[in-house]
Amino acid sequence: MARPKHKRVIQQPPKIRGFKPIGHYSSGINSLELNLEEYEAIRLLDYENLTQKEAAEYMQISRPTLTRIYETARTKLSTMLVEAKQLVIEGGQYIFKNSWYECQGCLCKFNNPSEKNLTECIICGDNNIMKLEVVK
Amino acid sequence: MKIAIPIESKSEDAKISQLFARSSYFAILDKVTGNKEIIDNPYCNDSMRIAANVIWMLAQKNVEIFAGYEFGLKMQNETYARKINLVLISDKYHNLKELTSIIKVIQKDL
Repeated sequence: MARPKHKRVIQQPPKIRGFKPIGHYSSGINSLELNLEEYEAIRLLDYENLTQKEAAEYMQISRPTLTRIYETARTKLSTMLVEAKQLVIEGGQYIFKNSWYECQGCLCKFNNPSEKNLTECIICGDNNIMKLEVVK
Repeated sequence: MKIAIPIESKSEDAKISQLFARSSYFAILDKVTGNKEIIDNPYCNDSMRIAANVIWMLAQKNVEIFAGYEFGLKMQNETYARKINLVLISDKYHNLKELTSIIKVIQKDL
C-alpha cells in the first residue's frame, strides 16, 4: 500500500474558483482540475518568484515533491491554454497555514490571526461563516 | 475598528485596486462611526520594503483590517505577526461604493 500523502500547506485560498475561455469553446464538458497545491506551487514559484527551496519550505514539502507538483501544474495550464479548456481550482491534499473563514453572505474570505472565537463575518456581520482547514 | 481598502482614485466609487501595497490610495473606513477617509500611498512606486512601510503607515491610522483582492507573501507574514486581519474581497465587488455598502457599521454618529 502506498504511503499516505503529507498535506501541503497553502498560505491563502485562491480568490477565484477557475477560468473559462472566451469564445465558442467555453463548454462545461471540457474542464481541467488544478488542485490547490498545484495552484500554490505556481503562485510561489512563478508569481512570487521564490526559489524551489523557499517554496518547498512554505509548503512544508520536499523540493523533489514540489518539482513534481509544479511540473503537473504547468502541464495542466498549457493544456488549458492550447486546448481551450475550462480550469477549475479545487481539491488536493492541502491544509491552510492560518485560520481562514469564508462568509456565505458576502462571499469574502478572511483570516483570524488573533485566534478569536469568530461567530460572524468581519465585513458584513453575517453569521453564516465557514471555517476552512487549518494546520495544527 | 478600521478597515483599509486599496483604491485607484479618490472618488466615492473608485475602483478597488488589484494589488494592495502598490495601490495609489487607501480608503479607511471606521466600522464604529461609519466615517471614511481617503489617503495617498507614498510607497506605491518604491522598489523595496513596500509591505513594511504600508503596514506601518496604516498602523499609525489604527487600521486593524486590510481588505483587498490579493496579498503578497511579505504582507501576509507581517500582518499575521501584527495580528492584522486580512480579507480577500469577492470579485463581485468592483468599486469602493459596492464594498462599503455591505460593510457592517457598528454604530453611526447622529
